[in-house]
Amino acid sequence: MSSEMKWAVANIKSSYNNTIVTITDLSGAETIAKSSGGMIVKASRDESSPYTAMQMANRLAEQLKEKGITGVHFKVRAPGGNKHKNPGPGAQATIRAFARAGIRIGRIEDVTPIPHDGTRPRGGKHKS
Amino acid sequence: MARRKQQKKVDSWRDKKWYNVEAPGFLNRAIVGQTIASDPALIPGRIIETTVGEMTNDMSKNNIKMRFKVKNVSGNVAQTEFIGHTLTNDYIRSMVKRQTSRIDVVLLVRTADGYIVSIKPTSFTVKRARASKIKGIRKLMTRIVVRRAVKLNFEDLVQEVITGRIASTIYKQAKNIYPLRRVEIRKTEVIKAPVARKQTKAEQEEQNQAPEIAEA
Repeated sequence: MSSEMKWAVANIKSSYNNTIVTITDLSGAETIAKSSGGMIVKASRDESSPYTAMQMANRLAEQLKEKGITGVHFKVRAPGGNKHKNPGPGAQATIRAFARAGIRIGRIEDVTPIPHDGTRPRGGKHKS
Repeated sequence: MARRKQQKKVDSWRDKKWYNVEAPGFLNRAIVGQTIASDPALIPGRIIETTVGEMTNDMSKNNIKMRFKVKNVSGNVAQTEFIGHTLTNDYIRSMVKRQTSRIDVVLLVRTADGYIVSIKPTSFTVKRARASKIKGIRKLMTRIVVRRAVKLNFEDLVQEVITGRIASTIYKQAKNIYPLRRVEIRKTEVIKAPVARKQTKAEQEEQNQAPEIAEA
């Protein structure tokens, strides 16, 4: 890596009800910027929509540029555990919007917590 | 209210400085990344992850993640120690297939210079194997890894694990038992570093108990 690039990590938690993006340094100990669906949109049903995610990413990208960060790695997660394990609609939109806002995209990784068999999922039917 | 809060944030950002994080000496002290802090005393204990591909510019090895923990800070450079590696989740999941067997072992190993390391090799067969073959392969994996680890120093062991040399020796020998698709070292973790580096009494006592576990 060249010394010019300054990398950060975007931790995206994307469920069907909301998208939360926290941008930290590489160690994850220091938060650089953060945003969530409720900060952009008033209706709770829109919090998870791809359009909201796009706007979040645009705002965050601006903050990142201000702070001199040029590249971002992604750690995407769904709710996981005994809930659904596929990221919601906001995750992909966020990544795309970052790319279009002129921020370099590094690794993209799925970090959904997967139980090695945990508690019983709620609801009647237990699909995969 | 809101405005005041924002101003505070900007100020604290200005106070913070960037520190370069260095890999340990046996990995050529390559710069792993940067971290930011208002006080260098806050940095020790932070953990940074990178891929082998990023450190060696070899894109095919981007599925191996290495973890480094910051030990101490001098100037604007943070020195780290190696605390383990993992394969990425999606890579392992792409290897698992129907009608094939996946063979895991979890091993606690003591290196020649006293590190206690847990190593987790995995092999994937071409077709579903019988339990007797699986047991044979598991035994072989255990033997190869333990024998190699006892002879090597910690740093050389990490090198061999990451470059895939141990995995390939397992592959060469185990394919005589049953056809294999792929062998990987799925994970390593440093459980304990040698005594000489630690000072407190409590830690030393723990240390004395640890080797018994390793030999058992």
